Amino acid sequence: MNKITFSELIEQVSGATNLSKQACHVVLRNLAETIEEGLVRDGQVRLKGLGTFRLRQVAQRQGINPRTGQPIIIPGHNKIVFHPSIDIKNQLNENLARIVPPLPKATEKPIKEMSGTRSLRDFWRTNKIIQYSSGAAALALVILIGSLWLGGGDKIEHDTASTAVVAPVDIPEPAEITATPEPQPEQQLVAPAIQVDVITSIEPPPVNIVAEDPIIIHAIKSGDNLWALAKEYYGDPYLWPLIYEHNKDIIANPDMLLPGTNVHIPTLVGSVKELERFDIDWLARANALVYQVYSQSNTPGAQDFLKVALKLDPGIAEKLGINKIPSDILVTQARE
Amino acid sequence: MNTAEINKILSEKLGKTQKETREILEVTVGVLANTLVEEKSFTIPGLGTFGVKLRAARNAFNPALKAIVKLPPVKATFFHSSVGLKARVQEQGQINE
Repeated sequence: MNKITFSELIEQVSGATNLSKQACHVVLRNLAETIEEGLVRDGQVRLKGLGTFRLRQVAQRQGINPRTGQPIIIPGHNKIVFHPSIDIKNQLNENLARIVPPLPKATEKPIKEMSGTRSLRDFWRTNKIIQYSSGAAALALVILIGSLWLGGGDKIEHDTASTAVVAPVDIPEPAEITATPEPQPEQQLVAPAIQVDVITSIEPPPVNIVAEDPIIIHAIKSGDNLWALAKEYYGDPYLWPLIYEHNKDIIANPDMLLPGTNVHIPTLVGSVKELERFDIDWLARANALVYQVYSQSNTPGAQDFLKVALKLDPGIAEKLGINKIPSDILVTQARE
Repeated sequence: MNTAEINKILSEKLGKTQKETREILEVTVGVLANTLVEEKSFTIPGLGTFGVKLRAARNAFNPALKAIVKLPPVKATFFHSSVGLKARVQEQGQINE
């Protein structure tokens, strides 16, 4: 941890404010005094740009003198707590940013945050506080580019996937006309018929293909879990049963993902905020499946998933042939 | 107490107009905030020590979900009040929550 001395701090303040060091000393001392007055008067001081100081009452409690091992009573006292402003918090954790999810919705968010922090920097710059080291800006730029690259990489995957679907349809037309006129007259007859169909509807299909059958594949790394995956790709961790339901042949135990397996991340018909009827039924099925797996392995909390499933789709139990509905769930259902 | 009130009291103490004081206050606070963002700790006499430390990633239990969730590493600020300030706050401090 780097520590700078008070005189170094004074130098920086004096450089930024164009005041003498002596004057800056007076300013900081008076600022400290003012904060103290505020704490004594209100118990709370909000200083824009820095954060909030607050008094917190700590109750009397029993403690142990670490030197002698004797139990002692720690009297109740007031503790001063400091919460930094949200901007400081965000800037500190900028470099610790999570992996940017490939979904376009999710990638929008980090970019918004970036622009927010940049405007703060501009604010400071205009006030001639900091000549912000270009290193930090360059780092932010690298993160931005990195996130775009990550997101863009997946998009390219999508694009290649959709073009791969379209391409075989497009190419045969000239190829068959020029190269294979003799041996396959039957196919030649069939092929144009297909092409007519395709040409009339050539523009909508790629969109549908991308929307319905996206090829988002996540390679499981050590430490991954379904909860985190759902949060990363959907933005809502509670949707993790969907991923499990979609990959139930690959994932034996939803609580233990094996590194090296490739999990397909299905896409919703609606959006996370507005689930379509299809999604809701699907989520109900997925939750019921989790209940079945969990109740077989006696995992605590299995019933919660059945409750969710029944709430989403009251008829799910008959559809899947779950006859033993625990009595307490029936009671809560009856109450509702 | 909020920034405007601090500014008012500070301007009386410094013998400057509130407009002048506001500029000085904003710039000073900016320097303090920037020092924290650069992860340097500093002490202001009569107030206390500010700094940043890394909280390591850990697993936590989510009681609503009854599952273990992974929490990412976080850089958090800390503040240790100076002994004198703490003592003075004990005698007179009132708490308005």
